[in-house]
Amino acid sequence: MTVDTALYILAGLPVTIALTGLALLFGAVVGFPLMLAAQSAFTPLRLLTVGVISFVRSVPPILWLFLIFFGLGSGVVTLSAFSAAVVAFGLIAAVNMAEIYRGGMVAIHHGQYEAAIALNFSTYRLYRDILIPQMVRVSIPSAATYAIGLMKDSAIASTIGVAELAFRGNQISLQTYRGLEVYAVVGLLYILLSLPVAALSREAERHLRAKVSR
Amino acid sequence: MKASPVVKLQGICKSYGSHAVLKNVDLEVQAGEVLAIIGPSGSGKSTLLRCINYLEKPDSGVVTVNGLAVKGGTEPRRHELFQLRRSLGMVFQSFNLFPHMSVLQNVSLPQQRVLGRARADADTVSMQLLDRVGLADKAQQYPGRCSGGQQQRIAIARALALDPKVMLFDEPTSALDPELGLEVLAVMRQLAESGMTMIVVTHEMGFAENVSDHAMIMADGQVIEYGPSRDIIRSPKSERAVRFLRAVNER
Repeated sequence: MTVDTALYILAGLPVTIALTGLALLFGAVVGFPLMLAAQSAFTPLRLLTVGVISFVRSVPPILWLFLIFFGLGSGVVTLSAFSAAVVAFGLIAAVNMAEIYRGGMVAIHHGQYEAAIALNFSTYRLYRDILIPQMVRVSIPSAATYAIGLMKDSAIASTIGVAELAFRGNQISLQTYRGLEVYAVVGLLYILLSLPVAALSREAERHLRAKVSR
Repeated sequence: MKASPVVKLQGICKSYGSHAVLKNVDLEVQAGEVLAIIGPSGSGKSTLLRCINYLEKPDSGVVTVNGLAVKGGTEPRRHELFQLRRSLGMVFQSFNLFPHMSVLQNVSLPQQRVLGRARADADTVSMQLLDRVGLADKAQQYPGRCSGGQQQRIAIARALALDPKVMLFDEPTSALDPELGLEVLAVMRQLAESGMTMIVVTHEMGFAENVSDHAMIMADGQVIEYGPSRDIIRSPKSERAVRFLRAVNER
């Protein structure tokens, strides 16, 4: 493999990171109100949200990607391939993060609610000071696992021409007919990307798990 | 003339589905009094205690605390609940400290959020209270690093920090081994001697007999005995109370 092709593949690294990072950020932010709405005492809102969540989850990611890029792209709103991929993966990340947050909320001991109520905390303060900090701590390991999965899934964006790692690997392989070594390098890069995420998560878990009541 | 009671419950009823947990319970507690509520598990004593600060909503009856009456069976207004709970501190069987905050923050944060106290003032109050329960040296620790007895004493300090008129204790020593229970009971005894009004659901007969002024025995959602604690515990009248106390003493 020449230096040029190596550099060409490496240039996909920031694209994969940006795509995964932006989608995850969107998901982490939007997932929170989604989780709240999915637990709402207001039945129509709850049913609607639960329906949307299971709908988004049951359609394959590649279909969302095509729907947004080719579907919306043909007439409704024109998006670049990268933007379309961010929107599609952001949407999928949001419903998955909502589920991860829900798991985090369920893990909180009911005594935490009772103590806060007996102490006269407002609902806002109950969430802000007591529940969310504990929910985030519980959610970190599952969110990290999900982030790694999302990063690998982001390779699907190569199908609409986003020049991320898999796309570039594919191009080089077609030009050089040396698929084995090219894809091995691409695979290695994915592994290298996921290692720090997994390590960070383990560290965070070790530090934070002790500070959650169950 | 007899002073008006700080806590007065009239005709409290509570059911879960078809199961009646509280059947028309009355209760009066004067300022400075310590009342022990004892009885077999499932007798409704914890539910009764939780009705006082509306952690459970009574189906009917009236809860009056410090002059504020809240009628059961209706949805109480938010400011009524706030006022009611302002007068009441609560200590739970499972401590329920906030595990993600230091001991000091556990005691200070409610003062800041609920009383609007400045952080420095809240910390000063917290340190005094932690000192009073013998745990000033734990202020910077996290609750997870403290023993159960220490956690419960911190929970008492946290409740006291909001200047309650009445302290409610829901089996405060039941989750503790006997030695750790003793250190909690010592703090509670000290609190009783300082004149705090206390309602204590407990299985600790020693505390009920020696520290509390009055005792109430509950069974099947009803009060079966009430009176000066020594009389109630040494010479109960009803057959059900005799049976319960014999079972306790045989342990």
